[in-house]
Amino acid sequence: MDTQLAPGLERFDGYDLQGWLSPEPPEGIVVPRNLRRQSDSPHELPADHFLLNLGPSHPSTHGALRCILELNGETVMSSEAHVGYLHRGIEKLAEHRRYSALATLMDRGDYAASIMGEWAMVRAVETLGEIEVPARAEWIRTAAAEVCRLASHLVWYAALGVDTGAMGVFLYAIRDREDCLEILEALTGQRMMFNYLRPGGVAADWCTEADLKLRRYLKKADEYLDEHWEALIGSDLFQQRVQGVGVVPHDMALSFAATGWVARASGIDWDLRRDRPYGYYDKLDFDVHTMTAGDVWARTIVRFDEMKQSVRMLEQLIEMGPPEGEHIAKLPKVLRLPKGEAYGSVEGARGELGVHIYSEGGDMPYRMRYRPPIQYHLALADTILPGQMLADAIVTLASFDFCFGEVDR
Amino acid sequence: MSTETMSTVGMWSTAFVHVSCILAIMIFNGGITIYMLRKVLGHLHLRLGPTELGPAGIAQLIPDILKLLVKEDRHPNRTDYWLYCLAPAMVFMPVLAAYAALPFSETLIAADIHLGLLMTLGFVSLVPLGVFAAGYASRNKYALIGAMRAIGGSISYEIPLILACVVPVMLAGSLNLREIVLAQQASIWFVIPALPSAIIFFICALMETGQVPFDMAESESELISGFSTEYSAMRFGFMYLAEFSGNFVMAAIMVSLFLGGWTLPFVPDAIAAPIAPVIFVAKCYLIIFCFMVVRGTLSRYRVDQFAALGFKKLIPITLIWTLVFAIGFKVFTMWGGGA
Repeated sequence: MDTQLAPGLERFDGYDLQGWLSPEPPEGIVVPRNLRRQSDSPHELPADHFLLNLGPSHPSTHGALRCILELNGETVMSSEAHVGYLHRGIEKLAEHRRYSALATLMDRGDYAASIMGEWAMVRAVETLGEIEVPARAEWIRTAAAEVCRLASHLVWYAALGVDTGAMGVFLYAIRDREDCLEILEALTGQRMMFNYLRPGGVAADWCTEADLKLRRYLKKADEYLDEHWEALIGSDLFQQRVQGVGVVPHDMALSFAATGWVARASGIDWDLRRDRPYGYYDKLDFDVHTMTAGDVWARTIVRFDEMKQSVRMLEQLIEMGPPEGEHIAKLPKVLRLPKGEAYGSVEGARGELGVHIYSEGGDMPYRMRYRPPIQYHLALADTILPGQMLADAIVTLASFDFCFGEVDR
Repeated sequence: MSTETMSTVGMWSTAFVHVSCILAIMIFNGGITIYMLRKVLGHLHLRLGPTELGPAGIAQLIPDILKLLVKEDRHPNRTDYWLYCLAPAMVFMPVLAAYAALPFSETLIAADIHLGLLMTLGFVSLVPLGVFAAGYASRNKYALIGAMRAIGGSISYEIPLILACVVPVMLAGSLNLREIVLAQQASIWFVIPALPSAIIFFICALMETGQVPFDMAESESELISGFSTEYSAMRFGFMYLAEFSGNFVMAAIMVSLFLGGWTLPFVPDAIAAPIAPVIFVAKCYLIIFCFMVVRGTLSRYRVDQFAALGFKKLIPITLIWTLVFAIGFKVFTMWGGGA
């Protein structure tokens, strides 16, 4: 029987995908090739192992991750991550957008912390065009980025709570995030997808409303963070769940090019804000927290400390006040960059977020490359999943804080 | 009509009335618990719960129940159809039967059985069987993992649960729930001499009813909805109702064993006796409220930690405590000349 199948489809003749309880495979079921395990050909699935398709629509895959897990009882034997469900071709689209319009695309990369993507892009453009950025713009960018970082980290914290079963913390974190989003709304006019940063500055000046809202938030921020610590991170039950789970050893973090808090939790003392200062960070006083354990617990602590440092930085920024001057450099309406290439990167909410722009001259990039930190961490997560319990695998995935707008681009 | 037929008819009609009353209580309890759950969890989570329909949103129950009733009853392809249909009943019926021996007051008991406590616990421990049937018949891996976890949980918590009941039974000298309450009325609430048992019973009741931190069988973030993933409409409604009724049954057993059932201390009998069922139900909802606060606050155990808690901690602790208490009780009754 040789019926013609569409390309990419293969006749199913192996194990029963729907349930391993029935020994005989179903007749004539056709499955897409990507549903089959890559290790199909080298070895058959042992009789007591089964496949579990986790995602792309699953309560705890945070976006559109699909993991095909081979389970033995509750233990993950192998894992295969599939991405691309949110692919929009951002890099290709960028080849047909003027430099000032790239921010809208960057927003839709890491959509939980949009300012970071925009900043990486404008940094690349500014390096290539040798554009001088006014101090006031740098101050506003730094403040907006730190508020955005807080908003993004709070989503991670909320999701971590839900994934460990503590529904309670979710809405507490969302309450704080609401405050952060209101600050950004007052500043940029949007709650997400800000489209705020421009080559040479920012789209709108710092305003009284944002100032007031930021001051109001900072007054209670420390108290709120302590509350979060008490509600989830300080509890014994949570610590039992996360300590020693999902360990990323130091050398593994290095070889997988882990950045941001994943690297810092594995003992790599590296933070772009401190080591390659940009924006206003060289004028701010903050600590970079590093841990060596590399487990979910270490990542949680490092990230939680980042939130505290963000609050500290915002307090210092508010105390300094925005420097006088223009909020955007005087530039021609249509920005044309010389031939050449440049890389701009920032310490994003999820690690080193970089944009590489190659210009052939003209008002659009010839090629843009987006470096999503999460993609590197995803490979890392996929590697450390085998050997864990299913419940731990969920917590491990949650601890990497995936954002699939960024991975799939 | 002979007297024998008369008595048979009488027996059946009494049974019918009893079962109808219990069903009514179950449905009523379901309604109250849904509303309470939403309000309590809502306020714990900085929300308000339902507010729009009726005073304080209480009428929200009506569309909720209507929705369950009129929804399309779907079942996935290639399920084990009969078992799939039967499973909600297998979850529902034991809980229904468990109500029989609950003493709402000295006289208001559907079946005043001599081994009432044992019977109730026996019926309650049949529930995981229905859960397993549901997970197995659904032909969904998430459901099956959830079902397996339910069985694993059942093995780990049944023993400490029953051991925790031993101390009050020793104190009362009876397995009849009514007599246990009467014994507390005569002396003190057993929560005072048997506090460790009461705490362990509370933990095991949380496990029994499958609530956070012990909701592995459902664990929404891992298994989507666990054993009930493939259920919808009223079949799901029955599981839901059984879960809430399970809460009530466990709370009622706890109230009868440790918290003096329908009695109140320092209140003369003349006042307490007419409102005995109200006191009993109010105490039950107080316990359910405690369940909900725990549920809204804690995070979930991992399945192996859960088993370790049952086998390595709860069972040894209850065994030692029961032994110590039994020796102490024996010595006390020998020297004190009977209690």
